[in-house]
Amino acid sequence: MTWNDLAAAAPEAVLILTACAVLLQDAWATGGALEAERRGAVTTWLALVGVCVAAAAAAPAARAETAAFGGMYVRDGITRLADLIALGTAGVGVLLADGYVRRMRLPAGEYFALLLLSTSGAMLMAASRNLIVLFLGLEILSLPLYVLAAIARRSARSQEAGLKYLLLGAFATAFFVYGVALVYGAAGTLDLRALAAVPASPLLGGGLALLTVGLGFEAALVPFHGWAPDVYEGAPLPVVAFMSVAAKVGAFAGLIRVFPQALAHLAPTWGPMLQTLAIATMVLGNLAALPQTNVKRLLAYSSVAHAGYILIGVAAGGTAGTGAVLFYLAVYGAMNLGAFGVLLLLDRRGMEADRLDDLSGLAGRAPWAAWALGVCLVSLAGLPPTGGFIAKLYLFQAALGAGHTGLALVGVLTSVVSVFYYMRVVYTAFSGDAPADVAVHRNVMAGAALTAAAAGVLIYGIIPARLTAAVQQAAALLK
Amino acid sequence: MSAWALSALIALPIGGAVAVACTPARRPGAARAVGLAAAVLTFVLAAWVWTAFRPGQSGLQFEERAAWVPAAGIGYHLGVDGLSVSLTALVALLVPLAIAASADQVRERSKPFVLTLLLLEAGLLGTFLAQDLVLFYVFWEAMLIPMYFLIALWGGPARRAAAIKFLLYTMAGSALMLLAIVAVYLRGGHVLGTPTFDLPALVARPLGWPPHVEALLFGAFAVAFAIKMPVWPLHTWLPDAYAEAPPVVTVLLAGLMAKAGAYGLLRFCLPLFPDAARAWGPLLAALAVVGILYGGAVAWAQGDLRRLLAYGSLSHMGFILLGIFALDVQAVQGSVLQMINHGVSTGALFLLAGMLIARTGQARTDAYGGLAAATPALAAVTLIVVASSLALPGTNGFVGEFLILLGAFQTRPLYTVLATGGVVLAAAYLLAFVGRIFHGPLRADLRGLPDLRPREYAVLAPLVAIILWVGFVPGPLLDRSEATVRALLRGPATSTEGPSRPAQTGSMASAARHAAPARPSPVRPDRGAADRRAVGGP
Repeated sequence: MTWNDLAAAAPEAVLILTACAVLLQDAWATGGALEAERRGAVTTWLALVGVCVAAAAAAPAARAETAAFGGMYVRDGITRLADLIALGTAGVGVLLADGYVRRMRLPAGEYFALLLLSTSGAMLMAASRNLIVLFLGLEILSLPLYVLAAIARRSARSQEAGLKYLLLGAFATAFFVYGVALVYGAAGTLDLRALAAVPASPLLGGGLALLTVGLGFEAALVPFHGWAPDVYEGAPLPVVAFMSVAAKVGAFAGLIRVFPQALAHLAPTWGPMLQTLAIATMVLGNLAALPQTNVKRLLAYSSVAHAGYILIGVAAGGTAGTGAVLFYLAVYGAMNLGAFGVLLLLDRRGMEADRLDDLSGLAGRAPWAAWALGVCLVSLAGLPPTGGFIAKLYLFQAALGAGHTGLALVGVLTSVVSVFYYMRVVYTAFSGDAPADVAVHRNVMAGAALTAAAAGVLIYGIIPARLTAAVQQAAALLK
Repeated sequence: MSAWALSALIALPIGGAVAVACTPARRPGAARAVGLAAAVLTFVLAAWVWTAFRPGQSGLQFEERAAWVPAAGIGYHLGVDGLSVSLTALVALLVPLAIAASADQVRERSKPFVLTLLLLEAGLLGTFLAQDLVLFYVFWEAMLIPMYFLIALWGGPARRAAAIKFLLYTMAGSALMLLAIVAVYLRGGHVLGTPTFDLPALVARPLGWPPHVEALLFGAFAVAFAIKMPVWPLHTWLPDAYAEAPPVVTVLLAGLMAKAGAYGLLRFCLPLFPDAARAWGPLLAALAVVGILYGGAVAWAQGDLRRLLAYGSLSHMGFILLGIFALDVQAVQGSVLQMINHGVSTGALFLLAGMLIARTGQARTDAYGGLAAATPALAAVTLIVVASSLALPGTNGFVGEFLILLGAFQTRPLYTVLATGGVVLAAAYLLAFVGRIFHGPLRADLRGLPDLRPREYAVLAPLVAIILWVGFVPGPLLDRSEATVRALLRGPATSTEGPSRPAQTGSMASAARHAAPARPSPVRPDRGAADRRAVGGP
């Protein structure tokens, strides 16, 4: 390891150092008390500063790719965009969590430190050019998420969610490692560039299938999505908001690194597998979301469905597919954080107000929150003039361009189905009277986060030119 | 001014919506006044565009181009031609009337109501002005959300179901159209060399589709537009939506949104897929005839006056569809004119229905009787509007329907003969409607109902004026659309006049135009002279 290696990995290094600082600062400030009354917001600001510094380190556009750690770690256009999306998610996640952590007396230092570590894991996955680094990233991403899911000590639901996530996640990771071993057996290398010359073999196919299980679990693809509804329902809302995006950023960055980038020559082998997964995920995610009356579960199935949409881009591959995935991840981050962000402003007698009815009459008492929710859900449904529409347009364009007409067809038809359940939530928020036992917590930081998310959704929808050019540039470096 | 007039047309209602949002919540009157002012300004601008439009040119006027997402071939491209110039003015006319009429009819939450109405107007105007496939689709879909809320939040008892049915139905159609748009884009990229969503560039030369692919894509576009119109048998969302929406919203649903469907068929289906349009024209014309007769017969049997008008509207939209797929200059001219006429007369009918319902709270026709004695002015205006809807000579409806039937008879005689049955049915249900409500002895519980108020006179007067004006002087409307319709049916190879010139892809597209082989035209080529004589007024 040289200084150059460290300099290349500066964004991750900054996050990890900040995580340590946050943990120490909180320990000093609270004196180790478990449920301390928090007065200042130093911890939050410290975490935010860390995210901003990391973003500044990740932001400069790379003309050429920079490899480090003996070629195992690479910074190129994809790394840069994935890093910025992950850091944006972390920033909004921190802002959203501040008020909630205070209200629910969660341990702030641990919360923010874990969030930052998890972010660095997603970024490492996006920067990996070696299956071992990909595995490391996957672990660094998911271990903090297990703990975060269980961070509400007094909530049985949260404990259950954390345990379930951990057990199933451990399984999935084991599959992943076994897949890495099989790939090594078939190819004699773990370097993703070297894989590009490896001929197809049953052993390699088996390895790839197992890798897909591991990444598919993290992305919540059907049939590896079983954990998502329960964990989303049980985990504290700000954790879900962050997790639903960060895990997908990491997982899809990994999928791009492995399939369209390293194994483009084997597309006939893995293409049908990913297409089948995408179709199953879109159909099942959307159908399962239809009858939900718990908004967290509804959004859980919705995020399953969106994993299916993003997989369309991976299956299509090439510049168009990769660009579409990156664009979708950016938009998905904004809209999903916004949707969950509005929910966490509400509480029903000290509990999370996650029933559909709890939202009714929201427009009457918190019009801005209701509008933000409306914009984000309309975008999730893929309707213009929001980013969700443009993102889906690019995905379908990539799919049709690659000749996957069936995939695109399932994509648009399931989007129509999704309109039904998203509009049900929007309708509830804009009609009826507010229930008496549901309170709205106004919070400057969460307000800023929601404004950023909703504005992002609209900006990606109305003036998407810059992001489009950026993702195309990043994806064009693929070759 | 003409360099940004169309952008201003779309921006004005949006700006108005923002201004409405800033009015104090305690004073709903202020919201309505601000909204009305924005809508009237929009109308003034649209009227200026309509008068400044130069008839006799087939190409786009007031064109605006800007890069939107250059990396993806999506452009911001607006323009009006003969197909859209009058429709644009119709949108800008009906929306302020609806806002004014809503003062008596929508009393709850009028601020968000006006705001949503203005957003809908922006979507409608954009739909008629966009010349880029993605831009068009954005506006096309952006209309849905405001309309969903207008029905779901301000509608009748079954509003939620009606609103979601409307939304899902139209979404399902549009979703397939989105895929077809992308397919056209990809094909255009192969044929033209530069991938673009720009409509004039894509229709400038044949894309050389394999026939079955062209038929599929034509179908995807046509279904989306047919749902919006609606065309029988895709109309099943219509009675619920029309009856549950507040009457002023139904004015826009029937008067404007339905036209967006018919306009889409003319703007996209015919020029993009001329061979498929010719091949499938007979089927669509047959569906039109079924719709005409079915709509008329069902309307006759309705006891709810909004449902009666809804099915009547379905029947009348059938004539427009028949005219389009007669693929004949006269018939298409008639359809373009009839779109305006139908917007005016159906709009006026639903406004009148709304005024009746606001007075009594009753929507069933048997709750009325002999109203002419109590409200003579209301009865008189209704009679004029019904006459227009019946296509009596001297009203605008006559000119439009006559042209459609005259033109369609030359290409599809059988269908045209059948369609005339619809004219008879229209007489039956509309006169029954007038008879049941206004004639006979005045019911005791309706005694003392107020007649038209000044505001209602003001809302209805422009529509009645247009009905009579177009009835006697249809020239200005027909002149505006004639050149475009002719060019549309002739195909693009010879339609190089007009100011349309793609900017980003300019050299490529114009080279393509000159190099393009004569494109198969959807109309029989030997009928030009006859058309020229007959079109221009009866």
